[in-house]
Amino acid sequence: MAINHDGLGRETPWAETVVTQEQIGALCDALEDDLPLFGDPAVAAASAYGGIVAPPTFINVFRRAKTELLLGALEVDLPKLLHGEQEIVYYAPLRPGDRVRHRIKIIEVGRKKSRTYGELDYFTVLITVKNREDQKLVEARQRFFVREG
Amino acid sequence: MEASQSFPPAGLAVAPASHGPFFEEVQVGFELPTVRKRPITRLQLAKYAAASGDFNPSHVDEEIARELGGMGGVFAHGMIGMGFIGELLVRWLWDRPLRRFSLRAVAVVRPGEALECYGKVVRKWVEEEDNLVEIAVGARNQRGEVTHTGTALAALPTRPLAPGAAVKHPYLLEHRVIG
Repeated sequence: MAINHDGLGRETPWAETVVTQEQIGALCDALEDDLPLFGDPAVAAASAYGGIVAPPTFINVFRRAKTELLLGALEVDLPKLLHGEQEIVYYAPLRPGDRVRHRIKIIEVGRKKSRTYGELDYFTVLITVKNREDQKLVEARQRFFVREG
Repeated sequence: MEASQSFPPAGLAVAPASHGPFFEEVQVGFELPTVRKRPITRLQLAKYAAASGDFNPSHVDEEIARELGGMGGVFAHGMIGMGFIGELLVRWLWDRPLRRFSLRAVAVVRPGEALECYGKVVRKWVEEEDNLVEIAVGARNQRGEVTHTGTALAALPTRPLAPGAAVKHPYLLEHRVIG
């Protein structure tokens, strides 16, 4: 078995972080995405957002203790992981300076047939990002397949 | 190899200088201007690993990817494609909010491959006071093979009614007797 099914339900503690322009810039640089909504204060101010916002997949950077969760609770091998699917639900935009908290929880563990890879172990993590008023800002469900052999 | 599109994309009918599309102006079947990304480099995957914190060695270490990962060599993070398609969406939506964005990686992407991102409006409707459009999205490599597939939901505003807007049939308001 490539995965410990007892990892279902395990979660990281809530972690406090601040969204920074540096993090936004690093992601945009890696994506070679120069859209000014993510980096030009004047252009972003003229938009309905009224200022710079994080790009749509920014939630991927929230991963405090994620590796410990996957290695410790699920006992998976990092090189065997395939991050195949993600669903992001947006409640409010993230902006530089936002003080947020996030938590990662294993919400599914099982074995299924992947259209791409055949029958494999898989797990789903839920990443929840909230503001200090405990309101959800964004959440993502990420499904990982675990290669065998 | 083509560079990624400059902004604003040439030929875009509405230059999003300060706002994105209005709900009533979007037709089902509308195809978003495609975004063609530059070929993925190993340095880019290292930058993406650092920016996303995803240090799975299969994305940067050839030996590990080949021997331990069993994937035949280094391959890109599946979700880098989601970042690229996110760019496609925001180039069109500009400041209109995304409500939901889901994506599946369906084929391995290797360094050197160039992805083209595309999207098409497939549905529009109103739900709980939100004007929603559903966009079928995806990416394909330079050989035309689909690498990612998914959907996005966005909420678009409608133009506010102008005060004192002319009414087409004023006689209806004046209760004129006909006949």
